[in-house]
Amino acid sequence: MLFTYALLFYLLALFCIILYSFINIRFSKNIYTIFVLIGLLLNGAHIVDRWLSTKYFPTTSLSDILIFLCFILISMSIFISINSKKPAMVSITLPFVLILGILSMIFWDKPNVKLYNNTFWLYIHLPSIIIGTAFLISSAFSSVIYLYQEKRLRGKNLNLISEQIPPLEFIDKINIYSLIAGFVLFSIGLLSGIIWDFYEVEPYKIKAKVIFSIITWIIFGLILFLKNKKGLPPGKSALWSVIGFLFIFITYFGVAIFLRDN
Amino acid sequence: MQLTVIGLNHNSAPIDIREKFAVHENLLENQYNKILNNERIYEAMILSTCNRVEYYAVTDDYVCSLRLLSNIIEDNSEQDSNILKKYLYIYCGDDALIHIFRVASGIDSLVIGEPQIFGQVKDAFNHAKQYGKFSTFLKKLEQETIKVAKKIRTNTKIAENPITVAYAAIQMAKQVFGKLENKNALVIGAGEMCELAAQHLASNNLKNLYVTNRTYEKAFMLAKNVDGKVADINNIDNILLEIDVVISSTSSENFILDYAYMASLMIKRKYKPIFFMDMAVPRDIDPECNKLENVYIYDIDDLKSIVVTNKKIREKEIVKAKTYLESGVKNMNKWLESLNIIPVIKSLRQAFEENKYREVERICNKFNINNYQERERMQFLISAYINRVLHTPLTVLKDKSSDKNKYTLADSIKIIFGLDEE
Repeated sequence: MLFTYALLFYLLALFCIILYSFINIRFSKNIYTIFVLIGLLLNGAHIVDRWLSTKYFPTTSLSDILIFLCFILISMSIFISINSKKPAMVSITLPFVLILGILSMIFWDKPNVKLYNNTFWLYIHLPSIIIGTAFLISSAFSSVIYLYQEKRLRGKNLNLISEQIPPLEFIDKINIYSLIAGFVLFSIGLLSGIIWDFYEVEPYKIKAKVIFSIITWIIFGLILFLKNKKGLPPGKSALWSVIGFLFIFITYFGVAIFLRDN
Repeated sequence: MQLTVIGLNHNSAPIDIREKFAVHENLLENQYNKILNNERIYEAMILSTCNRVEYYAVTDDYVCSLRLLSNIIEDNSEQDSNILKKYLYIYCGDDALIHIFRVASGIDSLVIGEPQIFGQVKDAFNHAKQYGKFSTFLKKLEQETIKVAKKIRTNTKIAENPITVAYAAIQMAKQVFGKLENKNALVIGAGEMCELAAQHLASNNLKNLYVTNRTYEKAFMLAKNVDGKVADINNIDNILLEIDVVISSTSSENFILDYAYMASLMIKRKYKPIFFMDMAVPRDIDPECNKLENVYIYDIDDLKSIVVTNKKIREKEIVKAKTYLESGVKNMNKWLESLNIIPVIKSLRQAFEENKYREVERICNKFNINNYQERERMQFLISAYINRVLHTPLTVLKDKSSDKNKYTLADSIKIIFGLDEE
């Protein structure tokens, strides 16, 4: 219930950003932050409520994972937007969070990961993979913003939306930091997940979810490697981040299928 | 005798066209000779800046003069005359006067109210003095242009908190880098534009500010003024590896940095972003480089997006400036009409002088005065009397020469000799 209200506030915040970015209604710029923060508070309250009622950190069902992902994504985007004083990151994250929110409601009644599997490796795997994924998604979003703004700057065609976007160098920094943090956490999550799966669930069985996770890991790893060693241009690394994001999406669908199958 | 102007500016032609028409200082003498070879053009002035190339001519035959000027422009640019027509504008008479006043006061600039244009117009008058025929008309035009421009800049808010081209350029760089703190910048050139750019850059707490120029001394002086470092223009490769912002405004006729060079440089830089503001016309940096990853090249025309706000703020002031523009035109016309009375005044004086000698001779012969000193005194006395008698009529003639009212002969005499006042 609390998360539904959170979604409502996220929706209101998105509405304010649209008013500001497309119609240039100035006062809505100040209000959107308040709505997002209220939404974030309710989102957090929902997670705490679930934690208290179920007695374990709520990341064992797809619905809980998506709600936790929403919380992390919004936290990161609001942090970036407040730092840059530009709402671009929140603007791009909010619609995605709303979709995740709706999906979490669809998967509300789906079963949890069986508690007998709730071991040390799972405790490492789930938070790492979720927070890592949030960072990688954030990196992909910053890439989309980067590609948009770069196109505008190169075409010397700045518009009202361009004004809401931080400088390119700032976006590139967000992209690279998110990528590093996301890659490290995703690696930990992936490794712990494989170990957990091998020892606790079904050893010697190759799953689509794992394959897609590895592909995602390779893509983001390659971006990092090329960026550091060969000097991959930000435009190209942004493009690859977006491709990596698509694989994350597929992996998560894989999770949904996996859970449904179980 | 009227003023006529033909040219193109940032409103009528894009930079890739304007740069083909730019007139370098070393070509000015040749250009002036070409123009002034025409006997119907009495005086001429060429104004060539990054925003405009304009040929001013004082003539009594617009058609012939304009034909000649457009031929000269066509020869310079090596462009087809049909293409030229699309970009050229022509003003004659009062319109030409208003145009030059607008240009000098910064109303016609890309960045409205920018102060550099005033100096550039003054320079153009000086070049006309140096290379061309700078006679009565241009002298008066120079005085009036400076007067009008100063009035507009002082009495309206057009020049208040001026946004310079250099300032606008740095704003564009901030779209890429955000704050310029701890960035490295390079200024190529040491002219007025570069000086301003260097000053703006220096106020951004840069890590390093380099200045490079063909003449080392000029670069050294500018670097000293802005607390920067001098870079050898023949050895800027290493510096360019660490530079984030480059502002260039030289009078080079060819690209200083071309595509092939920039492509190899970007590989060495590991595609670290680099921002170029090319304020030169013709351009210093190959515009093709903009296609390279993480290379952002802006030229003078690209500042339009930034200056839109500036234009909106200053539009009200342009309306206020109209009064000063019209008064400038009125003064010039009054002066021009007063020129018609000068031959009359000359004839009148000549007639009086001739009569003076004749009368002195007649009286000296009649009274048998042979002493040279006596004759001299007599002439002095008559000259003083003539000056006294002619002073009022001549002053009135000059002042009232543009008076369009019709008077009777008696009224005219009264006005000319100031008889009403007595």
